[in-house]
Amino acid sequence: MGLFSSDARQFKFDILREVSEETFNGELSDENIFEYVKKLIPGTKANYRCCVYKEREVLRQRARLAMGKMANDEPSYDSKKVVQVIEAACDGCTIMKIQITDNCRKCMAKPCLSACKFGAIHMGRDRAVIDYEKCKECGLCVKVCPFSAIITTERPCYAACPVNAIGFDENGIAVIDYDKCINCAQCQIACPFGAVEDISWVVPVIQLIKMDVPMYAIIAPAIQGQFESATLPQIKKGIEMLGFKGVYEAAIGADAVAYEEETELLEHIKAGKPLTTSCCPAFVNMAKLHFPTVYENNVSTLLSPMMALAKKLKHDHPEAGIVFIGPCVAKKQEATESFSSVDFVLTFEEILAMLIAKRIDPQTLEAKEEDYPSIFGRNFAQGGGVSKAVIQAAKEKGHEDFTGYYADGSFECKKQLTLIKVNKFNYNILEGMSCPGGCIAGPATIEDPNIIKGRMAKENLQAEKKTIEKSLEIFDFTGINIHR
Amino acid sequence: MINVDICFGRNCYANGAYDILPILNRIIKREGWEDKVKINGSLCMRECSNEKDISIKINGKLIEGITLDNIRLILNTELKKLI
Repeated sequence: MGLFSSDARQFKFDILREVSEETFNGELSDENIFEYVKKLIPGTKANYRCCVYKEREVLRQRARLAMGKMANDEPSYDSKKVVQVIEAACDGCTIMKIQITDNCRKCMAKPCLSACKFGAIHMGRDRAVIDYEKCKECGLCVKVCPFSAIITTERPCYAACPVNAIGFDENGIAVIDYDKCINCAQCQIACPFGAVEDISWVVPVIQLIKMDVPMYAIIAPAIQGQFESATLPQIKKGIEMLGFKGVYEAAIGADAVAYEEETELLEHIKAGKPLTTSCCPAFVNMAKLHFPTVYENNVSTLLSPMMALAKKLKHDHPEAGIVFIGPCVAKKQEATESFSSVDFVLTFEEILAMLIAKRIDPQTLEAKEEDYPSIFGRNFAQGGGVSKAVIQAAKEKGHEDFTGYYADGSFECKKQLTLIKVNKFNYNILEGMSCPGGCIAGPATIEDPNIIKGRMAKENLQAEKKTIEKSLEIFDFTGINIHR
Repeated sequence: MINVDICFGRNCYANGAYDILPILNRIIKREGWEDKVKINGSLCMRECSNEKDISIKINGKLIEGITLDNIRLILNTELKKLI
């Protein structure tokens, strides 16, 4: 049995593992990886698509993405395209939003007919029929049908996109508008065919490690509990064994950010404008691209915990590469910002692929307990955790309490940003998280977020109850400007 | 020893930095330069000028205009100059 319940994701993972293994062994080439892909789809009987040749083509494109090449054989690299549609994998699924099903009994009341304000429904021979030329997709007929015979279906990718960045070409294949896309990867989570995927940097990271370039890893707090029973020290040890010089928790950066954020919040309160958090890159992108005035006036100028810690590490080790390991796809784009000190971003599935390629099982490792960040920093991974940490910072500094609102998921983020734009937001701080539930529900996580919550709580219960100030005493950010 | 530094920054990698390795290794083997040329990996050299270029430094000097199409010729001549 595979690791993932979705076969598409399992294929993606298998290919990432093979790419990692071949890179570690110095055997990676297009020929080798495409040979492997053929082995994944053996014989002549297709299981998912019209034929095995199409299935293999989909996997060939997945292999390209795993090797950091553009999908669909596009020759030139475009750093904007972090999330890409694999055209061969896109099913071009139904675009008829409202459909009448066999449940229609051609009843005598015909509420659908009277509900439709556009005259788009008439009675056919067996059931009601929609004239799609006239239908405005308002959904009233769906609501009034007593037999639930009328259904609404939207393309999962289209329905999941909070910023209308998904369109379709003349063949019904999904197309991402990169001028609108915020890299939140909600379409990637939503697509049941795995047709939307992120580009991977496992190869350059492994290659640089192999060529003895010193590399440091920063791990997102959501990594706790992702690898079965492995504890945080065991996970850190496992990643170190891949060849990293050191592994640091991004939660250290989170402590520094929360402490500074409190100061910025006080300034905002004085100026009478709410502050919005800056740790979720998809949320920041949403503000930047779709609410520019809010981005200008309200978004915190603080770096994300990843960026803050990366800057500190780059300051201490200017010759070294910094690799962030997280549950997040948008971080891959954040790392390309001009003020970034992060060289590469890997996801949890990519790091697991590397661990398996090197036959490292973190659960079996001897690792000594060492404890840097506060629980507040670690809880940035869960929705609501950021504002809680800033509240804690206020408490530690002896400042007054303030009010915060947590926007859970990209649609809620959009709503609250709209409220700020029109001056109708009545809290001091808006914490925006593009993934519902926070980072633990990110697109590249391995385990179910509810299981992670339990495992995190259990492990952190044993950790030292430390204040944010105490954590910053251990890891000193003096002299590092953590503003963008 | 001649040091060849290949940039593995995101852009250079995407433009084919990894594919340069087997090409360079073949040249070294063919010419018998195993003891004369050392290949190193580098983080982003911040030399990204042309979108299609791959940044390569030979003994610390940037060789401009390298792409996957002209790599064989350029490496051959540049290395022969030094050996």
